[in-house]
Amino acid sequence: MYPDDLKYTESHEWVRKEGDDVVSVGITEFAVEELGDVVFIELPEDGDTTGKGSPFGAIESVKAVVDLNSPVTGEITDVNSELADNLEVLNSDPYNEGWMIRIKLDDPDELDDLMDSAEYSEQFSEDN
Amino acid sequence: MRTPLYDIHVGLGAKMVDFNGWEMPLYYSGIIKEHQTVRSAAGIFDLCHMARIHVPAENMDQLQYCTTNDIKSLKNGRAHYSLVCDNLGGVIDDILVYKNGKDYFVVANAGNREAVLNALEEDNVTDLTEKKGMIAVQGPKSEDILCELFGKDIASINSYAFSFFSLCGDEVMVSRTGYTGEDGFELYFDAGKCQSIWEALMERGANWGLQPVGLGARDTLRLEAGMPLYGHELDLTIDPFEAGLGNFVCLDKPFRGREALVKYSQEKPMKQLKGLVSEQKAIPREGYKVFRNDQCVGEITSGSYSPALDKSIGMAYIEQDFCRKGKELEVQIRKRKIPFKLTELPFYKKEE
Repeated sequence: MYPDDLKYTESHEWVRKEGDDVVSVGITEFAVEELGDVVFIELPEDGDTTGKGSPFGAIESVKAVVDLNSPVTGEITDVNSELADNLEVLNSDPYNEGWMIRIKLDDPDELDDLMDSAEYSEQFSEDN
Repeated sequence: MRTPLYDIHVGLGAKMVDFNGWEMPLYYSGIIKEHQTVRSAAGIFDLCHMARIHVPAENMDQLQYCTTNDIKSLKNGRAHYSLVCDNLGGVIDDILVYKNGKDYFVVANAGNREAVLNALEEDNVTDLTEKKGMIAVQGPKSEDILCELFGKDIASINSYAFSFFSLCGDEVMVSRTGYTGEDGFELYFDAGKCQSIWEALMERGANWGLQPVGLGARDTLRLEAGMPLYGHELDLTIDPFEAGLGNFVCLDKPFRGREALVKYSQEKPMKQLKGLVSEQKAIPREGYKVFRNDQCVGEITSGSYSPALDKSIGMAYIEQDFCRKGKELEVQIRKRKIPFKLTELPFYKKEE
């Protein structure tokens, strides 16, 4: 149900390995579904640093504002600046067009701490 | 607690939440979608959690003493908006009072049921909350829908008036009241009839685009309409004049809190409830501070995205000196100060 080639966090971020030490990050369809109508997103700037488990931004729906948490430690190299004006892609294509940031990893081993799609699915499928 | 419509909400796939101890639908298809349906067609709401209290004629004096609006001017077949205050003039609840024959019927907020019953201090008022069902149909098509079900006499119910109708042998009280800023009706009937009345409305209403609407959109609709919500714009620390509700306070009669309110009515309030609007979509949430330059001049009480305006809106108590229209203010939204413009309430007015 969730893409096999991605890794996942408990706070519903997905991670895609783009190269040896670069990942792209977004949020899963479970998170988007839970949020309801998304109206606003706050993303960081290129060059900002982030730590594993630290917020890199926030996403806002009518009912709530929720932190976006970084799955890894590193430097933010890219931000999807088109996302804020196209929030509907979070519904239609959360794992590709819905990418939020790219991070250059300080420590690639941090990826081993993340869940794979089977583990994430077990914890957070629609039935749970 | 569950209303008689709980199974129906779950069956419709509603996202359920706890609301003052009641399991209620937050949304069915989505808050913005449901909000837009009420503005363009009609929505049906489960309101069985609202507190409803029967006050017999012999307790009229106590009702008059407990409320700010004038019971004596309320006519049979009509309702009025009123406030229940404490000795210091702070608001215990905002309510609707209906006069039915010689008796009265009070509709209060779910979370304030006990507080309002205590304020009434009478043994022979009856708490009807669990005995009576309550459903609202709100939106420009609501009159058409109710006429289909109850007959064309629905059209002659005036705003804040009510009448009785029969549906399959059951009596239904229909009032032209609501909490959305649209034309609409609130229906009261025996709790056992809840499901059949909901289903009848849904069936007839389908032709007009009637959709179920949850508490999420109920909140965004009332906010756009500039209507206060107890616990946000109203609480024990707020007096009616600060909230802009002086029209519902009759100082000519004795009532609990009158002494304090006479004093407040003679002074300019230290703060005033105002609207704030921004093009930016970050939402000003309850508790966020409002600034003029670097000075904190107020606090947000409610905020949301407004589908009608396609903007962020909020209500806030702003210090009197900073209340002039057109003043540029800022709201601290997490790390940033976002510009907002002061505006009069309501944010949205229905098409006449």
